[in-house]
Amino acid sequence: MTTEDTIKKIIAEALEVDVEKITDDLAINGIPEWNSIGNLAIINALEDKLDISFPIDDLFELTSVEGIVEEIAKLEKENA
Amino acid sequence: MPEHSPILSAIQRHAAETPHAVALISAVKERVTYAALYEKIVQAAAFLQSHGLRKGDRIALSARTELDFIYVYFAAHLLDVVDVVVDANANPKKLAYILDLTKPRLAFGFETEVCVSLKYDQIDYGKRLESADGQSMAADDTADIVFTTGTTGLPKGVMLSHFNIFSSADNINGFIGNTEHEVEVLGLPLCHSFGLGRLRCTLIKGATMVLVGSFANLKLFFNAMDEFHATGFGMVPAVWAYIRKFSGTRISKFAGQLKYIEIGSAAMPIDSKKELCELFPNTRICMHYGLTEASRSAFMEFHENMDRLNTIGKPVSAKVDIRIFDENGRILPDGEQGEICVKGNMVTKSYYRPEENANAFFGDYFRTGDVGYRDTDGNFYLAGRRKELINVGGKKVSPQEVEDAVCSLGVEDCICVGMEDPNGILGEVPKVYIVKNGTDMPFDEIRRKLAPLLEDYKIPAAFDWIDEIPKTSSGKKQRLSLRNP
Repeated sequence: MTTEDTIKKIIAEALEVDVEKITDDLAINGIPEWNSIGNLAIINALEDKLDISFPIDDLFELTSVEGIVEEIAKLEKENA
Repeated sequence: MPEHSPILSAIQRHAAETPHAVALISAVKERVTYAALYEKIVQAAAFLQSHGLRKGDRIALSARTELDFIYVYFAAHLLDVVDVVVDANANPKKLAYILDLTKPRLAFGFETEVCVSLKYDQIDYGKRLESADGQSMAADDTADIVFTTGTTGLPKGVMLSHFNIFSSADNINGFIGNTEHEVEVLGLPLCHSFGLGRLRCTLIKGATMVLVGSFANLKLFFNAMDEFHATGFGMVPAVWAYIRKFSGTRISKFAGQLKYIEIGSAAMPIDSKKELCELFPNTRICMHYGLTEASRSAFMEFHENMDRLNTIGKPVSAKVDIRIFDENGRILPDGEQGEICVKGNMVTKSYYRPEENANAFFGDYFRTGDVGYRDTDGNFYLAGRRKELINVGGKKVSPQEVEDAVCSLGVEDCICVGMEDPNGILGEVPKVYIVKNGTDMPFDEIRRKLAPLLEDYKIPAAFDWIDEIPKTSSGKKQRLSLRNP
């Protein structure tokens, strides 16, 4: 199971910001770096590094760090 | 009466005739009627006046969705004060250059040491506007100075008059067929030309604009479309790629209510155009071709051009003329390739620095730098670019600026060109070729060190080695020879 800290680290790297900025309640547009290009970078990085694939219907719902963490837990459970 | 500003005159007319019509809905769902909008503009003008601002002075302002930005932007026009709209997230060096050049008296919405900088909540709307007697104001006076990417990397200030910006909005509304019944959701930032242009189109018609300010959170955008029964929106091709990746074809549920979509700022793949036609069979899907100096010069509607989706269309209105010129300034016949040049009511008269006007015009025709031709039916086609700017999702990147930044890290020499975005979102992205043995630094390190020097979208997506940089006999880099190899 991928830990929350790992996910936050990947998000921080994708946005090129300090991991301290990636709080649970951080959402799209919450920091200037998390714009549409940043969002794309996050999804690409998570899919690449965690070897997962987000279904399109779920991607639409992923608007916060908390949501992303929950989604990855769900996907890993389904694939277990 | 703000007779010198046809846009303000239109807003004032709507305030008198349809005072309760909603002009703006903010990101936090605050509704502003036309009566309230005009009142706020007058009050904001009084505030600017209380700071000593008068005709010809300049203010700098930035915003994504703030209502106060709109009040101050038009308040400046009311006083014939010039707006310099900037993106506060731009490269600090570029921003400093713009502010140094234009010397604003006040700045709103961002921090600067060049002049007094105010937050929007510091505006006092309780002041009374004094008559500006003795100051003649005319529609030809400069309303906005808009900065566009120059080939050298230094931005060029484009002066647009009150008449220019009104004419552009009027041309667009005429082509698209907009009415006062429109409700448009704006996902584009207000501080960019496309977003600000859409705002002007909406307000001169007496229609409604919902300010969302970003497409990043599509759920928010779609909710606004649903809640306010949107009839239209504007986007760049990169946004369409983003919408498709993050929401599939979910947006087609709005096909019944969307009367128009305006697209522009970059090329769009033909397959995307066909798909849009299928998803929105009854929507006017209008794509513009233009540039800051000659906003929305040409338009084409997808459904009407299914057999030639690669055209950039025809002049936007009868008040605009487009011709193909050879390099000596002679008009070429149909079918022959040359430089696309534009004359019309929205074309700038001058750059801010007059020396930049050299070679910018053939008579009244502005030289776009793009190569194209016209067919016998009057449709124009792009055939290439004379200028070497890279178009990253609608944002223009000067290759020289990127090369200068790379070389400032100690790299001997390099050449920057556009390549197809491997993610299929942005259209083009910058790629840098570094001359072999020109550095010991790994590409990753160069990329990391560029972060504080360049905006995100200018940082090369790829690096490669090159034996020798292709140059002309006079030593000019031949970037187009390496494009999309």
